[in-house]
Amino acid sequence: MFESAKSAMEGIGVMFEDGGLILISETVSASADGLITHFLSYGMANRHPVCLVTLQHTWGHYCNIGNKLGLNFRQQTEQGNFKVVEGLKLLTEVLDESNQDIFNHPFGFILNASKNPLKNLYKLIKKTIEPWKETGKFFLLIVENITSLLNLGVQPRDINIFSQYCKNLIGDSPLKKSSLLVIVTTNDDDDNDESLVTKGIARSALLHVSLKGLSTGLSREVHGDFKITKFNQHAPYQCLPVTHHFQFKMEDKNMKLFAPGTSACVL
Amino acid sequence: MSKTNLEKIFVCEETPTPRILLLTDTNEVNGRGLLYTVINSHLRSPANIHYLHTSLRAQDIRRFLKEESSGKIEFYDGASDPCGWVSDQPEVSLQQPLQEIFRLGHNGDGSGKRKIVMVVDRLEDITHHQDSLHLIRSLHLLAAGDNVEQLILYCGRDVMPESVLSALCHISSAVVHVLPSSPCSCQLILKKPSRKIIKAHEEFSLNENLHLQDIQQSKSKEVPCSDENLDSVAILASQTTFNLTLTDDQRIAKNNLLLPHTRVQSHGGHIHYTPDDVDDWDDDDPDDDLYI
Repeated sequence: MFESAKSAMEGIGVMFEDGGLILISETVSASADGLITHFLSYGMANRHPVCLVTLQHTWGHYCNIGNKLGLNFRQQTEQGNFKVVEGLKLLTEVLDESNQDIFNHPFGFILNASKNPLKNLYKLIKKTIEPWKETGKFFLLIVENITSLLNLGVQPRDINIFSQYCKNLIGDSPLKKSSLLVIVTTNDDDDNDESLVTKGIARSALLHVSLKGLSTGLSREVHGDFKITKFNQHAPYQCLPVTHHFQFKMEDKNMKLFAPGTSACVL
Repeated sequence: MSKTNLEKIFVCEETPTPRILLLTDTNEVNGRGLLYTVINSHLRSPANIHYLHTSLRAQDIRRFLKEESSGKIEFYDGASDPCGWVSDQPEVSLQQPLQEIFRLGHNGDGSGKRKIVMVVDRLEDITHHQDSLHLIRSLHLLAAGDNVEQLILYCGRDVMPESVLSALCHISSAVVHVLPSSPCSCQLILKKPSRKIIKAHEEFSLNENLHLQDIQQSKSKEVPCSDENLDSVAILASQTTFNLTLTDDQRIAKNNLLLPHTRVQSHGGHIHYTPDDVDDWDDDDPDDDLYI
């Protein structure tokens, strides 16, 4: 969908079909919603099953974005190609007093202090993607926005453990093809916990896409910085990563990428 | 030709071998190549490697290690199911003390005379599951074990709690911080048994066979700042019209300047007193009449 973002990632040597973990970090001033929609449309266009775990927005939010772009995500859920684990809906279930089975609920940790608060959520995701794994199908697992769990009292270490288990679900290995896991975090330099979670996940990620707003303020022509960082997992003798730095502008149906300092208002 | 400190540590030519080697990196630089270099050196020595991995799979690590050398490697899989979410009794649980995890392999190790090298890759993943105090104690106990040649700890210093990192630096005989500079460099601290501490900053590169090359003392005279410090200095300098930086010549002149109090401390000082006309100069001790 966003051809410029796709070619930027392919330009650094990442092909979605090879699988792995892609980390997308956003900030308050630069949202990753567009990129998440890009991955959803990639799954839809290539007929890959998608499991979307939404912890910050509702499924309706992404359906509305899809409708504006001419993509019918609701139809995909009806056909069984898209499966959605809606965090906000599960949260209201827990807070509903009529719900008896708090212990096994994915968000039961809110009412019941637990040593492994995200274990039930992991089990739900595993159950959701199990049919695709059994048939050896390539699928996408998108978890958005994992740092929202910090607001529910989950510790950064528990989130890192959860992301490790999600990575095991896709069978991530440089030696054989795995499915694609996309994790979205909010990375605010002033928030130590968010920074810890982002750095912890970035270590094991194939690719880190960082979206940040401009440090100097707002601009109509430039909405922020788009940075891609990749370590070569096949060549550990290369200690430094390959980094590509762009600036971006979000348009109605497109994400425009350009070299820093070459926006329309400058040229 | 004298060996550099980096070669001594990673080609296992330092005598005695540093008991605990701490290797750290950050999100901006990958120290895994150096880790594989030292492990390959041990495999050639030969030694038996006991490798606890928490993020990559054994087969992904094995392809970079020269197992055809006379040493052998045993892997402990702390990546697949570190805290028993998949199976009630995982093969390796990171919630167990490290002595118990590594004991799993010792029972089958028939070559009691061969040196053992233990590797923990990555240590910050273990801090998610264990109390840091118990972890440090476990590392102490592991390093003090029989036949243990070296305990190699690999971690990211930007994700480790500060207190744990300083404790690790304290117990380690050799600390190597890989820096995100170009060319790659690292800060080394080597603690000798004679209590001598060697600090060095050396540049290096690795070839495709993970051999160290082009090692030299870093050209920068100053200890490199972290990126944040460099950014803040640059930002501060750009906000004023004053020149807040020093050129190399100015820095040398500043370091060579002997301040008055320094001169006095090194050469001795004298007090010159010229009494006034009204002063009653008396050589007697004024405290003579005190019964002390």
